[in-house]
Amino acid sequence: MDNNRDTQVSNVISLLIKNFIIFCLLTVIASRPAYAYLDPGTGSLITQALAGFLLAAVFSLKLWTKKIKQFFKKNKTPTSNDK
Amino acid sequence: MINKKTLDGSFRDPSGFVFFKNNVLYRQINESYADEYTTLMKSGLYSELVKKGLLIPHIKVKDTKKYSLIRPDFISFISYPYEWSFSMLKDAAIATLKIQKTALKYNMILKDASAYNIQFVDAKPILIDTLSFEKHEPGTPWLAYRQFCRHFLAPLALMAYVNIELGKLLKIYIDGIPLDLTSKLLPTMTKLKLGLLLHLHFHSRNQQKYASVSSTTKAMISQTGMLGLIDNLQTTIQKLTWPLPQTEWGDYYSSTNYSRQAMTAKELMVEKMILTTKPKSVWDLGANIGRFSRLASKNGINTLAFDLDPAAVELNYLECRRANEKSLLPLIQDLTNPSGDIGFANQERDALIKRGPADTVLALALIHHLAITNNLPFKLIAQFLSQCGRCLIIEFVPKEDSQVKKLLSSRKDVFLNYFQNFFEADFGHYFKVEQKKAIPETKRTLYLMRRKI
Repeated sequence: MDNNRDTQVSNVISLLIKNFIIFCLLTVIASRPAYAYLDPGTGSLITQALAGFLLAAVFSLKLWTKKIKQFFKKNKTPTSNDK
Repeated sequence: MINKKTLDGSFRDPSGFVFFKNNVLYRQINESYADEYTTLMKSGLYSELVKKGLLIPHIKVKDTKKYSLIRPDFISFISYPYEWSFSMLKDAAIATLKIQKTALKYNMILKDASAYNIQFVDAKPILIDTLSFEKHEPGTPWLAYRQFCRHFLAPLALMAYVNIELGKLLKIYIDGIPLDLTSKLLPTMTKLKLGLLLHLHFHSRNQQKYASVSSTTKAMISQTGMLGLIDNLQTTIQKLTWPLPQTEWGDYYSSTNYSRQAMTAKELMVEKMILTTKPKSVWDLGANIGRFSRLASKNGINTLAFDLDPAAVELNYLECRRANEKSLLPLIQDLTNPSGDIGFANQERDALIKRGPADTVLALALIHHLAITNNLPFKLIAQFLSQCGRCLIIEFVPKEDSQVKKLLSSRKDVFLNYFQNFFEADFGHYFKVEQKKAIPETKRTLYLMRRKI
């Protein structure tokens, strides 16, 4: 019984996560104009534009995190040398 | 006599083509690509990529108004993505993305991202198509994004999440695995991984959704978006792993019936025979993790180690990479169904035997698998091996051997001709026996043969 309930809870959680991701993607899609070509790569270009929009933010965040980490590392090094 | 032969597989690109002239490989650069080629060379991109070992070096041999000719470094054996192990395809993908990142620094971009443009030299992936670059206008999309996903990400994800054997789909789909098929085959949980969700599932859905829609609007992507896209593809691919299973052959050498002394004796005999034939190239058929292949490659001989087990080829490649080995290339090859001529007019990708012959072929502990497990007659095996190489080092494993006994334990012995005298007679049609030596402490015999024709 408990196992069943656990499975149900985890199913609901994964469904919520999935819906949240879909919601985020749809928000991104809705905020961009629809692009299209006759070219079979149309879907790819759209994916790329939307993924690029989202991943630009992810990439910038990654770079900032790296810079912040490096900043603290630099500040830490002289302290350890002082000891 | 001038012998000019356009190489199959290079006919799709209008920028130029590859051909052989008097046995030397050249690449012609057409007038339409001249401007891009000049940018590649003058911007510093070519030098940086060659320095990093990511692009094949070349020298310019002719320059006219209509076309130019370059002579790239020669690659002794062209292998195909469906012959690579998991990590080989993964390394080829990462190399393509590194090239793309470097190109973007110089305002250039990869105009194609075909896995067939990558080859392995000294166990390292390298781009062989010098004409793969074009000038990049910031804000414009990467037109080869779909090709990259189909050639690299889709097979790697399928191999990692469904089954390693799905890499073979690349043989059927010569321009990469379709994304709708990939999306259907992948487990639902892969939709929780951002990279796989975007580049495969969402990508596939968009392809279907917009397949018949027309518009003139141009898709735009910021430069940060482009770098983010490449970075995310790289992270996604780096996270894909294939935990090596203990497959049928994975622990072959530890479960062999050889004693340590017999194994050492066999190694000495094989190496001596290899050196007697003075080969420039060796094909080791049924190489497992390449123990005997290394007897050739350690002597600087270009050696290919073929095995049908993707785990053995993977282990062999990882060892080549770890030890920074030269001259050895492990590849997946099922000898009962070797790579055939495929692509347009069956002329784009060559069959295995068309890419030979090797100077020397090793067929060690192989004959019983072909003749007994696969019911192949000695004569046909001999014919095939004579097409593979000029000299043959082959081990005969008799019925009294414990490995053959094991093969026959679960089936009726219908192999009335599986005896050494029949073996010698049938191989005698194609080869002349030059040496015949019993392997100490075993019932096996090692032969050195030379092709008659």
